[in-house]
Parts: sequence; C-alpha cells; structure tokens
Amino acid sequence: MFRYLPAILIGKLARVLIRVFRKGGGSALPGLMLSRLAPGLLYKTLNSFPLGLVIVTGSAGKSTTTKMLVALVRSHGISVFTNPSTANILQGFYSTIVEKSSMLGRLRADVAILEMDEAHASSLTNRVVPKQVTILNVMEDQLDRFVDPSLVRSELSKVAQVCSGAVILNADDQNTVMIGQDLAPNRVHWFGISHQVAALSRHGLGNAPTYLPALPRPKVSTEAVALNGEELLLERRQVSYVTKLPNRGAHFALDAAAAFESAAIFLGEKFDPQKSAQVLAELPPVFARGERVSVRGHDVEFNLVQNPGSMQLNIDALVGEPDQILFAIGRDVHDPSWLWTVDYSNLRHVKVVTGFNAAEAALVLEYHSVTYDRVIEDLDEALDYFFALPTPARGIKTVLFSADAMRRTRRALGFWTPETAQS
Amino acid sequence: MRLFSYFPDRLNLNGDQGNLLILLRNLQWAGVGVETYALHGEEDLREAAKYVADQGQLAFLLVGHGSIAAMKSIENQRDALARCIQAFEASGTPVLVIGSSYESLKGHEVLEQRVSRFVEAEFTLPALSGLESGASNICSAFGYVNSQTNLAPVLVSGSVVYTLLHGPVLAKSTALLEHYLKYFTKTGLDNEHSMRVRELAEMAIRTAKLS
Repeated sequence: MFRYLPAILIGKLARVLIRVFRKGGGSALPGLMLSRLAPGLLYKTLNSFPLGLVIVTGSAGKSTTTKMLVALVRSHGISVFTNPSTANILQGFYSTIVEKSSMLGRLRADVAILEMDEAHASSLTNRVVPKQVTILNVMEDQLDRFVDPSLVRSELSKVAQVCSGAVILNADDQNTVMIGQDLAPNRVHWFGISHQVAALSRHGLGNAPTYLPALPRPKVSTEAVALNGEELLLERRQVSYVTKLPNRGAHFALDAAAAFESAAIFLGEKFDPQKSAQVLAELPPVFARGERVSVRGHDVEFNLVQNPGSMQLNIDALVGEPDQILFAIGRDVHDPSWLWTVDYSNLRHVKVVTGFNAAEAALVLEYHSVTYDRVIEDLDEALDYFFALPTPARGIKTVLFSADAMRRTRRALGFWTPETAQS
Repeated sequence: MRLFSYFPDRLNLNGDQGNLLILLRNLQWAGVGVETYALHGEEDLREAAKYVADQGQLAFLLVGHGSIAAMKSIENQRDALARCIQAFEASGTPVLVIGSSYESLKGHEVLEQRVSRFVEAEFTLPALSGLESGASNICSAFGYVNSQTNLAPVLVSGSVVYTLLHGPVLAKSTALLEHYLKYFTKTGLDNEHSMRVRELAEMAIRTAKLS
C-alpha cells in the first residue's frame, strides 16, 4: 500500500486546506483528486475487509437502510466502515477513504457496508465482488441518467448475479421479484411489508410498474406487519418484535424490514433479534430524512425529496396542515419534469419556494393549486425569511428540499459536518 | 369541449400528463368549462375520433411518454392510435404527441449518443380550425430532451405536434400554450393567473439556460 502514500497525502492535505477556507467543505475535491491519482486504491481497499463488502442499493431508502444495518451490525460487536449518504457514488467512496484511512490507505474495520447508487454499484462490482447485497426497489427515478426503470433493474440484476453470497430482496416490488427469479433460490432472502402497512401510503411505495402479469409474492423472512405512528411490529420467522421507526411513514417500515433481514443474514447465528429491535428503536433519524433539529430557536423537520417516490411519500406523510413549509428545489434537479408526476393534494400551502429551481417549483405548485406566500430564489435570503417567522401554530417548521438545496441549507444554517463516515 | 388523454396512467413517465393539467387550469382560470377523458383502448379511440368528426366540437388529444414496459403493454393498439390521430388531424383538432409515443409513431434511427439537455425549438404552426385569423405562425417551445433518436425536437403535421420536449412542454412554451388556448377561448392568456404562470415560466427558462 506504500505506493498509494503520495496520493493519499495529497488528498488529505487538500482536504485540510479546503476546510481552512471553506468550513464544512473539502469532501468532493479530495476524493476526485484521489480517484485520478490512485484509481486502484478504492478496489484494493474494498477487497481488504476480513468480512468482505456488503452493499445496499436500489432507487430509494438506501441511506436509511444502510444506517440501520450498520447500527445493527455494530451492536453485535463488529466494526464497520461505511459511507455518508452524501457519498454513494464512486467519487464519494474515494472521499471517504481520504477522510478515514491511514496514510497507507488502510481502514480499520471488519466489514464495509456501503450504500451505493444504482449505476455505480453495477460499475464497482465489476471489480469488487460483494459478499452480500440488499436491493430495496426500482422506481421511475433520475430518468435523465437512467432513462428507464427496466434498465435500472437490469443493472441491479448484474450486481445480484455477481454477489458471492446472499441477496436480500424486496418481495413487494415486482422488479426485485424479477431479479430474484434469475438467482438460485437458496441465495435469496426476502423482506416485505404487510397489506396493512402498505395501505398507509396513499399512493403506494412508488415502485416502477412492470405492466406484466403479477409474479407471486415470495415467502418473506422478515415483514413489517403493523405500523402505528412510529411504532412498528416486525415479524421474523413467525416471531414478533416491537420497535420504533426514526419517523412516520410506511417507507421507513420497509427500510427497517430490509435492514433487519440483511443483518440477520449477515450475522447468522450471532444475530440477536431482540437486541436488534431495541437498537432500531433508539436510532435517530438519518440526516434529512424526517430529521428534527433546533435552528435559531425553532424546531424544524428536514425532509429530503430526491425523486417522485420520496416527494410523494413525504407529502403524503405530512400530518394535519403544517402551517410553515419551506419548499426548496436545487440545482441537483437537472430535468424538473418529474416534479409533475407527484400528487400534491396533501400539500395545501407553502410559506416560501426557493432554490436554484424556485421558478420551476412555483410553477408546479401554481398548477396544482398549492398556494404559496413568496418565491425567493436566493436560498440564504429565503432561509432568513423563513426562520424569522414566528413559531408556527403546530410548533414545528417543515422543510422539503432536494439534495443540492439540502447541502446549501445545512451550510447556511451552520451544520458544518453533515454526517461523516464512521469506522 | 373535451381534453382527451391516451392511457394517462401509463404515459406519464416524465410528467407529460402535466400538459393536460396546464391546459385545463388555464381554461378554468379563463372561466371556460371543459371535460377530461381518459382513452383506454380501441373503442375509446373510435369514440374520440367520432366526437371530433362532429362539426363544431372542440377537443384536444394528449399522447404522453411511457416507459419501455408501458409502451410494450399498449403496442398492439398503435395502429388504432394512429387512425385516431389521423381523424383528429383531418378535422383540424390539436394533438400533442410526446417522447416515446412520437418515437413509436414515426420512423427514426437510434443515434450513438443520447441527448439529455434543455432544448429550444422553433417551428411553424398552421392555424387551428375555428380560429378567425387563419394565418400560420412561427412558434417556439422549450423543454428537456432525453432521447437517442434522430427525430426533430418538434415535428408539426397539420394540427398534430410531435415533440421530444418534456417539462412538461407546455409549462415553459408559452407560445404553444397560447396557440392551444386561442383555439378554445379565442383570447389566450389574459387573466391574472395565466399572467403569473407566464412570468414563472420565463424565470424557469432563464434558470434552465444557466444549468
């Protein structure tokens, strides 16, 4: 690993220097530099963990599921290297290595559990064989990149095929059921949610339709059986476990079932389901997924909206009529067409519309009869306006933002270290 | 007056049913009542064709963009759809065909590189039936193209506009929207709401050109 020393040194130095001039920054560029100077380092690193590489991928729920899975595995005494949710593409992995590795590029951990973007998972697994893969779902997402959900399914299928061990799949998404059909049955383990829990999502969980005759639902090992607010009843092999979700919503129930099953398979006989239910119950919300924080003396809930599925789920999950909502659509939304696929009927009023794509967002709201008070293109100005408003009647302000708007919001509000990798 | 949409549940991959919503809202803001109809299958297509064949009936047909799986699920109705579009064109009734539906109905080559960006297209629109001034006009449209074909971003055939532009296209193509609204109302965008969305559309175009 000595041959990587110069590249790592340059990356770490760049990170330090950038942070001197830009608080909270210094993650993307050092990673990019390392990927150019030492492209082989990533694969060497990911192949070096004694218990191998575990991947969590799919269209939605990757961050929450990965964080849950990492917590479960760590609670069983195994050290885990993982990546922040903001770094689930190849360059992001290099950034994480810059941040967390020794000067020789070594990472002290028993296993790497990484959330991976759908396209990058396929690319990476050409060079690194994962020991276990969890595929959550396939949605109509990022069509400017992925073009069509069937092509995403195809890429994820390759990841499943190349995996050397178990593949954990969603029994309630026809796309992942199709992926499972091409695998040896003894390799596949299924998670799912009951009809009762699924019915809590007005528009379903947003899985891409296949328009084919429905495939029979596989036998599920772990199921989210019942959900009452944030209290969840999980069932694994006919035994029930009560736990608590980081926030409301059937999609979190699915993530919990996925993480529970993935941990059970990874840990094998060592898996303690009772302890695991307890660990899940104590987890804070993942960064910007129903995360509640105090900002400038106000309670705020942050909700990341990245695609039609997450936008719909977050809008449907709004309880009552939140009287102060900030709606921010940033530069990460290259093709804003998908904003028009969402049913906004549970969103009555927005206080301020902002972000790089503020005009586009306001246009969508206007046509969907959602009233708004102001359009303020400048995000900093919008945040100042929003947080200067008196405490809302419901006691909590609500922010719905896309990824770019989220990053800028966190920087503007002084959250300098959004979630870092932990090893 | 009727706004028809062909398989709206399957042909909304890129939010193109938003085009119908945009037309509907602008008509509502102008105080014009209009009904929307979903067309599922040959029987519905025949009824829609019969409707526009009746003189004096104003209508609009939207054929949206679907996923590979969605298009495959309805490909056996392609000929029936083509006949319906022909009937609409023969009566001078507007039709808007988008993305994969455009690709399915028109021959094309697949290019090596996919085009995935905002595009502004200029084209000539003939007068729609019922309009007093029968002059054709040069129009522009703005939207997002995500295609690997050699098709033009906009192709006009009588009252039928085929386009690769998503957005939905009418959201940021004020001239094209106004063209359709004049067909229904003779007056176009002249109320407070419509002026507001026109402003937002111009802002959104400026932003899109920066991205």
